[in-house]
Amino acid sequence: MRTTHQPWYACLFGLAFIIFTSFANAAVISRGPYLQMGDNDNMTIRWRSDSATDSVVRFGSSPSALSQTVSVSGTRTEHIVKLTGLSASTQYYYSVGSSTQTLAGGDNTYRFTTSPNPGTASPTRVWLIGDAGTGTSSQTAVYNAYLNYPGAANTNLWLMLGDNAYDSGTDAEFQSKMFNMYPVLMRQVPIWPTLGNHDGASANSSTQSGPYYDIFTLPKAAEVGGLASGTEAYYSFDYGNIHFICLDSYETSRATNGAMLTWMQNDIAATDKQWIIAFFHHPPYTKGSHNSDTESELIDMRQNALPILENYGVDLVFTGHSHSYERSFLLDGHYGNSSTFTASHKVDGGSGREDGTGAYVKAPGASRAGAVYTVAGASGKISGGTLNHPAMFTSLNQLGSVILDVNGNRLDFKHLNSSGTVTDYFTLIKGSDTTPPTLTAASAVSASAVSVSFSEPVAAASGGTAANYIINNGVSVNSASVSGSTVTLNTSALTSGTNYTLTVNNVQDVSNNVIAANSQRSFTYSSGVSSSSSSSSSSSSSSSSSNSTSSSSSSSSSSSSAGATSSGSPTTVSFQQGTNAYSGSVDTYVASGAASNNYGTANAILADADDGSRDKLISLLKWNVASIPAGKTITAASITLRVFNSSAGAYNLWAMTTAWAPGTATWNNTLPETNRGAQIGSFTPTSNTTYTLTLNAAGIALVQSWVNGSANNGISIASGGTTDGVDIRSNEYGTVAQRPSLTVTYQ
Amino acid sequence: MFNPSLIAFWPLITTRRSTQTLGFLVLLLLAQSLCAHGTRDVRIQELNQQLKQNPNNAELYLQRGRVWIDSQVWSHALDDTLRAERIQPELHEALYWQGYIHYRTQKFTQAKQCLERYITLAPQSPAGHTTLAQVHTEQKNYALAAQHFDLAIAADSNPQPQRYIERYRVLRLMQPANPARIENGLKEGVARHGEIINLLELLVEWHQHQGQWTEALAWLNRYPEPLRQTPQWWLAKGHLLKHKGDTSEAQKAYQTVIDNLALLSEHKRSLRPFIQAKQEAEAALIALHRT
Repeated sequence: MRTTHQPWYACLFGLAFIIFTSFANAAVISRGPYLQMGDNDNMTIRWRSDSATDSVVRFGSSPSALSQTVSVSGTRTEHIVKLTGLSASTQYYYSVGSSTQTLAGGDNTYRFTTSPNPGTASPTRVWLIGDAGTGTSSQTAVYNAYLNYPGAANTNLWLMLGDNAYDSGTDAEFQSKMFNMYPVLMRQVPIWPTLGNHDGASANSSTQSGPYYDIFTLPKAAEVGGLASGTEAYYSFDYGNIHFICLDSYETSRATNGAMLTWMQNDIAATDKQWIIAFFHHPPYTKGSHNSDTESELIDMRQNALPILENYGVDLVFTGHSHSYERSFLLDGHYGNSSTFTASHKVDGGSGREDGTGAYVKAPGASRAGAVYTVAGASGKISGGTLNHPAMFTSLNQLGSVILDVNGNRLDFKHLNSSGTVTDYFTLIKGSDTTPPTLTAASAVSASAVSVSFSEPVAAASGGTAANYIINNGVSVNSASVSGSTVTLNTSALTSGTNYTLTVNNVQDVSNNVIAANSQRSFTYSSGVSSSSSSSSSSSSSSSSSNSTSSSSSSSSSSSSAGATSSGSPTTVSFQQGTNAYSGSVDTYVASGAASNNYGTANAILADADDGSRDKLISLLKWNVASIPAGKTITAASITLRVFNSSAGAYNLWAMTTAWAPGTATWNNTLPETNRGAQIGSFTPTSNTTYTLTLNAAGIALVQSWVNGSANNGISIASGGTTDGVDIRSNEYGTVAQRPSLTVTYQ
Repeated sequence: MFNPSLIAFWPLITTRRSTQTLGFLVLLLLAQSLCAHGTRDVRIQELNQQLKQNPNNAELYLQRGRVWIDSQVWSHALDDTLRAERIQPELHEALYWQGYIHYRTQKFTQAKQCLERYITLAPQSPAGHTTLAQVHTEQKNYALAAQHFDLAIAADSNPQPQRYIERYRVLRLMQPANPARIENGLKEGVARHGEIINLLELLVEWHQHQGQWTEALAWLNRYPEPLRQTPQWWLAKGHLLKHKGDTSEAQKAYQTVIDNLALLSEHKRSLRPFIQAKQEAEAALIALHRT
């Protein structure tokens, strides 16, 4: 039997209709957002919606403060919004949508960082993939390997080396094999592509039409530096102190007198950037799934483009096309086929590895200093080949991508395979050390020992030669021992109250630069204390930092002068919530399976790969280290944790790269697996006891960055894969001594 | 270039909904996926399999022809494009590719025939006019070449700088030369693309060729700012000033080549092109002093 409730049903129906029509009218984002043409004060944000709307980007300095808006009136499904007037080297958060609706964004994964000001040297991370667009698990594996690699969250640039969407570069293929494959990184890092032959099957470089040209917004009027090319088929741009040149090796004339190479010659002549990196699809040297001895595009690029690039000092050249990884020696002047390659083409025939034959060095003043050529076409598929081109230092039939870290005159290159292992690497130094060491201080540390300080580390041979040191007033130097930039001289007896002059000759730095002849410093020996001519030494202990426990080593007699590294007694401070009234530590943990939950008040912090109900757990910890004086150098750091639920598995400590607060942190707003930087330590907490974890060099650098004023986002503790979880006392735990602590030693 | 891609199968997809067609589409998608992996042999193999399933599909032959063209296996490429045309005469692109293949294999007469037929059918094709212009250039029919470059540029919503360069070169070869047409052609490119270096260089070259030193200098001065700092720019300026008869300004320009070398970064100042510019400037200064 049915009862009648028509008015009630009518209301329900009406409500459902309103909700339905509301949803039916709502646009849905179907592509992106993705970033294009980013520079120091602009960023272009693109996305596609399933129905036409106006275009609105809201942005600001935090996900919760998107206080600025750029709108484009009219309706469309392909949205292109250019943000202007941004600040250089600044992180922005954003959302995209319409005037009535936010389609995506507003959390901390929707962010970008603007470039440094033009010409400014700035640490730069570049990720390069080639021939990636297969839409397969191989492509995913390469992507995930990179995301899990330290520093991925701080990627500045992303180069795509062509064949970005197989098989024919159609719009649908770009959707499924590019946009759908890199959902997070695309919203954070500007993409700079080059055209591959597969992309070219649906695109026309002559008219700059087709999906490739529709999808990408690329500079043709020098919008991001360089010279205007007049076409998006080939272009250049600057990032800080790096000049990038992108060529079309497929559809545009590769003739030396053609538009592309004549433009390139002018462009590379005009750049004043320290680094020059070129990229295009077809490799000049390869014996992978393509052969650079027989294929016309490859031969043309080698014979026509390379002489110009090398003449003007290109540093690195990246290509794809062969589905393999091939990396050359530091080369110059090889434009023939592989059989004509000789040792004379190797500027440096070594590995380029500092732990091998040494970094590649491009000496200033050299007319032909060499370049390294890389085929990185295995980001979606491997296809083998003989892989025996003689120009190559290494050739691998291995899925992977390339990571560049450029910092000043140093460039570190890594090939990261799809398993997350670095299988090739080298360092390129732009310019050798031509600065000789200088004598910065001399002081008597006892009645028969003098400490000599130099401006930089000195070579053991020359620095350890006693004859290179002369002390007046009848003092003989019996021996000299080198430790970095300090040399300790064993001398005959010094007389208290006497003023001495030390004269140094022939001492070289590690690059064989010789100190200026007869470099001198004066010092006085007083029983127990000495002073140099440049400044008095202090024997008092360093002052302790407020609200922290500190200790200092015994007095020393070091001194400093202009140009010398600051020195002083090493000071160790500990930061633990509640100890000595310290209140600068916070912690929490987050859970991927309860991604909106906050556990900031828990008296434990947990880590696990799967706790059985909340999936992954990751602990977050942070200490305020503002009491460490600015300018100090961190020499050691450790973290002490009290484990009360042990684990047989390994746990890793990571630098966190995104801001969080204990009262609001959740998995969703911290994404601790994405927003992490370098790994700074690890441990296996097999017992319920206290563990003191010494931080590695990256950890020391992290603490140093906090002291230097960079954002302090703390650290995270995550399972290395084990599902045997670990429980650790938190700041909320009642026994102060069992709370997490950070101990730092600095000078 | 043209896009064969899946568009060719759209009528099939929309008009035949049988299980057999569905099976074919699954195979096709699988094949597309496998084709994705790139080498010529794999792609040809997959297209062969598709052609076994559908031997009268002109688009597939054209697609296979494109793979042969990319690999420069011209005879196979021609066979496939001819077969595509036989199966589907209205597939005009096949005719274009035949013309392109003949052009690349230097059979210019056949290329011309194919391309003339093609542009009759597709009169607004920039690619058709461009390739035909290139064929005429090879045959030294410069007037016809220039005419088809004109048509290619006019038909193209976004012509590359290369088109203007090619047209300029052809116009330079025409006898008698038409100076206004040459200069205006380049200016048309500037109007389209802005003052890009490729076109500015040609404008300087053209006025230099004409002995119009003031005009050449004016265009030189419009080079992008970063280029105006380079030794090469000052060297070019010195040469133009010398030819113009302005010796003292020429000397200053040549001296600036030498002076500016020291301003380059330590990584650039020893590079061969800059050293050569300096040596040329030094030689020019000596020559000027002698005169």
